[in-house]
Amino acid sequence: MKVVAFLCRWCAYAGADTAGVGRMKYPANLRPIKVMCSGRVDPIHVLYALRKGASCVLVAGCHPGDCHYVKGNIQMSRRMFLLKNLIEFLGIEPERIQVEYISAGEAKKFSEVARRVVENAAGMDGSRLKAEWEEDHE
Amino acid sequence: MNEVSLENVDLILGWQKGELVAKPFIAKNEEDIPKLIADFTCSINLVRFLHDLEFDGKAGIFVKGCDARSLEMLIKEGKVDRDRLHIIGVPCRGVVDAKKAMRIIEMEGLKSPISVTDEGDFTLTDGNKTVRVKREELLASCCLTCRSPTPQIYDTLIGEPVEGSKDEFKDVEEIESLSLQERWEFWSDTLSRCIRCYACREVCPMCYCKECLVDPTNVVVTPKTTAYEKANRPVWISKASQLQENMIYHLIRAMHLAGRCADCGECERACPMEIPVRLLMRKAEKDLREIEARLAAMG
Ligand code: SF4
Ligand code: SF4
Ligand code: SF4
Repeated sequence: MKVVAFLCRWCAYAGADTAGVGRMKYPANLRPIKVMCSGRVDPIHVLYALRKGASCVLVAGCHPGDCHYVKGNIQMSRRMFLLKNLIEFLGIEPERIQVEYISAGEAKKFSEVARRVVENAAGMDGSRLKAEWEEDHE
Repeated sequence: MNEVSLENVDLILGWQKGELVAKPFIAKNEEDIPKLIADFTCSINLVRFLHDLEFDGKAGIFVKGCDARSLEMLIKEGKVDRDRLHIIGVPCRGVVDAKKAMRIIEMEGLKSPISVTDEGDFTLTDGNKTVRVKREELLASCCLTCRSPTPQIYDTLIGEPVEGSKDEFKDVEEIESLSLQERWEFWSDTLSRCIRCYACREVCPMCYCKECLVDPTNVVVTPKTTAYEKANRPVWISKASQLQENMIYHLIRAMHLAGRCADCGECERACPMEIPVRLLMRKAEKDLREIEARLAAMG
């Protein structure tokens, strides 16, 4: 079971860094991917992760108003809101996509979020978007 | 068509008589003008052709209500130059869905050529046998909930404006009322039929990207493209028409068209597998409207 986490370079990833420096634990199933801005995360990145077998996807950026690029995080939240609604419409659990706002200093929040997301993912069966058929060909 | 002339324009993009679906037609001379028609067979959204049409001066184009919605959006997006268009608006009472008509024709055993007349309800006849069909049964599904059948932008309007209906998104609500499992069953059943022919994308006036995300073979290859680049170009979803891939294709299309889809129904009419392609777009539209209303209420 894996969780893919898209973390923005300025806040969430820095928060993860701070957590590392502070030797706070977070589950190893969480695979962080650094992006310049959470607004860079395209719906296809999220769907691709689910398609490749991730149980959950976390997208984390700066708190509203704190975005390094002014409104990337707001655009991300709008996009993820719609994407969540659409996958729910198709019959896929909307909890598979998680959105969080974590600042560079919030190391504790990061490790808590990481734990919560991984626990949430562990409680669910495999994702319906996983391309099972592809295994045979790879 | 005496309101229409080639005086100020190089050509007019319009419709020409077809059997169940009027054919796209480019009028270039005065003799072509009488061939132009605008009626319930003109289901094709001509706006799509503006992306490829080459002309020097100005072009005339026929639009129905929904076509005008897509044209308006394209002008807003800077894809079409409003000043080079002469828009001929046609208030619309709905168009015939050829697939629905074909089903009735086959069932009743009518033989081609068939003529259809609109007398409130429709009459189909091949000369020997005549069948009357209720209006709702033959109209394209998007026409039953059309919000603006009268074009909102035009230079010339042909005929009297038609009142739109209030769209209540009943089709979307029907799916929303199902449980997660039931929805999954409905959609896996529906989308596993998709053969990924991309007809729905090709006819869509709003799908104009030269490089489509779902179509990696479209990546531009020049003599300077290295082998590394060719081998590693992004392949986000596979070409295989497997359920998950199909779902991602439709999700991505819905995301890319959210707030832009004109609800012209071309995608649905083009689909050979009878997939309700518009349904996901409409779900996005409904949600966006709800947010808009909520934000407006907050002031
Ligand atoms: S959606 Fe509206 S404007 Fe478009 S063809 Fe149907 S009734 Fe006419
Ligand atoms: S939905 Fe229909 S038109 Fe679109 S790709 Fe699938 S089969 Fe083709
Ligand atoms: S998605 Fe379908 S209904 Fe919407 S604009 Fe494109 S062709 Fe028309």
